[in-house]
Amino acid sequence: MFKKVLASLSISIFMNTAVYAETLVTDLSQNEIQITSQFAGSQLLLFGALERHAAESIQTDEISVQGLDYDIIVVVQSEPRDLVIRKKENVAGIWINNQNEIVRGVPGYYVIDSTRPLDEFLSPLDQRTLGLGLKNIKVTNDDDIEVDEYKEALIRNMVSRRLYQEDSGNVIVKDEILFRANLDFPSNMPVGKYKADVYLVRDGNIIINHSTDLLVDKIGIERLIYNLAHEFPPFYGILAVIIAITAGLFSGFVARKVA
Amino acid sequence: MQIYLPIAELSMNILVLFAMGGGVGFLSGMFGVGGGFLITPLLIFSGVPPAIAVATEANQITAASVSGAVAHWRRGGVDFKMGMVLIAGGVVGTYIGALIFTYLRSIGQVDLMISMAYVVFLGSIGSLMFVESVRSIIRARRGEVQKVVRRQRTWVDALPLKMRFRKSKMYVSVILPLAIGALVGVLAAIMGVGGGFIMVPAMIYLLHMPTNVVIGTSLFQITFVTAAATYLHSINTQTVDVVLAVILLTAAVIGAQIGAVYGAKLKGEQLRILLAGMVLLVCAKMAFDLVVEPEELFTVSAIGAETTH
Repeated sequence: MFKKVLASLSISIFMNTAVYAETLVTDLSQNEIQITSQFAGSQLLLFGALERHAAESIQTDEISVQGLDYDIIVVVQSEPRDLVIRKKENVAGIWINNQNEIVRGVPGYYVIDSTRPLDEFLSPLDQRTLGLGLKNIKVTNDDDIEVDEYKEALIRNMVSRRLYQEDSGNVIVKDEILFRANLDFPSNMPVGKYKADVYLVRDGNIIINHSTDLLVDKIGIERLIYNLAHEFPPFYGILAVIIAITAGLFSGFVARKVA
Repeated sequence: MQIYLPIAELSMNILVLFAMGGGVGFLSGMFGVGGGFLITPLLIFSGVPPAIAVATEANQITAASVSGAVAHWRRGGVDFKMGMVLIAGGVVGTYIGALIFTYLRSIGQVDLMISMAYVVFLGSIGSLMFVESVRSIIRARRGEVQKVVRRQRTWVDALPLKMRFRKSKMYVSVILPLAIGALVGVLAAIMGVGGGFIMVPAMIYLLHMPTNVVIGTSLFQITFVTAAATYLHSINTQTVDVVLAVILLTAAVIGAQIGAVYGAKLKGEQLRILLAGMVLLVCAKMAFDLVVEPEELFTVSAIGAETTH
């Protein structure tokens, strides 16, 4: 997209990368996603501007951008966590969890999008070293070994739950300087700290990487209930019983009045 | 309209939950059964993690049974002494059940156990109900009257540690009620059911309790045992979702009141066949899911959900 816009420009000057410097400014429409009782997923806008500074020696109105080839990659991921992947096998006629692999430091949420498919502008090696793209997420066990079968299963699983998403073409660049990406978060997104990384790529090189923090948290009654359940389990248990007994007695009372 | 469940950590349609709770409540009001054995599988089928479905349902049944227990108590239908013995057994059973539940959850086998328990119990209870209803319909057609069999002395009478139960006009060993209570407790903890479907027949056919105190006493026991299960699951695995429980119990309470009105008007045996059919259907679905190769052989879960306190 960006490339097309650039290509359509009629200005023509020979490119000299050395004389340009870019600044990338990015932000999220919200820095926190609040999970309330009505939470059914969320949408955020990641946006930003790219500023190109011409070197002092070149006059600004003579800037040429022909041949300049910018692409933007957006990655949103949650804090790494440990996951267990279980495999069902047929044992005596029934399918049971029979094998498992514990993987460490895997994102519970990973979404990547870019101006166009990564392979068109970034080498596989760079993609791998920076962990860009679902296939480059490190899924290793305690022995630091990546088991293909389990890695594929993890990605398949997470993609079907919309916790991992890989797409391209949804990072929209406008007037060569503004860009935006609509991020669509499902309701089952894990709580915790997230970061949104924006990579600016030119000529197959990542020239700027800008990171923005995002917090996903339960608030209000949802947070209260969750905290009670996990931090004061005996209290929560007693409370749950009291609520049930009260509701039961109350409904019995109402039923008698109505009948 | 979506509602986010804070413990299950997923968003569900509140109308679906209401329909589920209300529908099963309707059936339970009509037939006088608890309904836990239907709601728990329905929750599982609709995507709630089985462990959360079971623990939450135990909480919901506490609400459903306490109102019933009070109603029976007002009519003098609760044998408190027998109830206490059943509770004593029940609490021990619940404790054991919760330990099994916690352990199996830690090794990733709790879903399997829940499914297997449902297949076994729903299968046998559903079949028995079905056969029994068909038989009584045939009897009714032939105009036969069920013979009243004089109570015979059985092995039950030979057990030691006898206790007198005035309300039930019985003098029996406490071993059997303790054992029945314990079994029901285990089921409450691992299946999220009240266990009335096991306890009521056991009280009638094994203990020979008078029928006027059977239902009230079993509801009395179920109230306490499911409360214990709720508490233990909260402590061990943090799987009780009170938001889900409150939605289900509100719907179930309303459904049960309507069901009770209809139940009084409708013919019993045909409906019981219907209920048996539903129980067998749920059982078949659970069994099917166990034996048919799943589309996805792998499951992913957070380590946090595996560790226990």
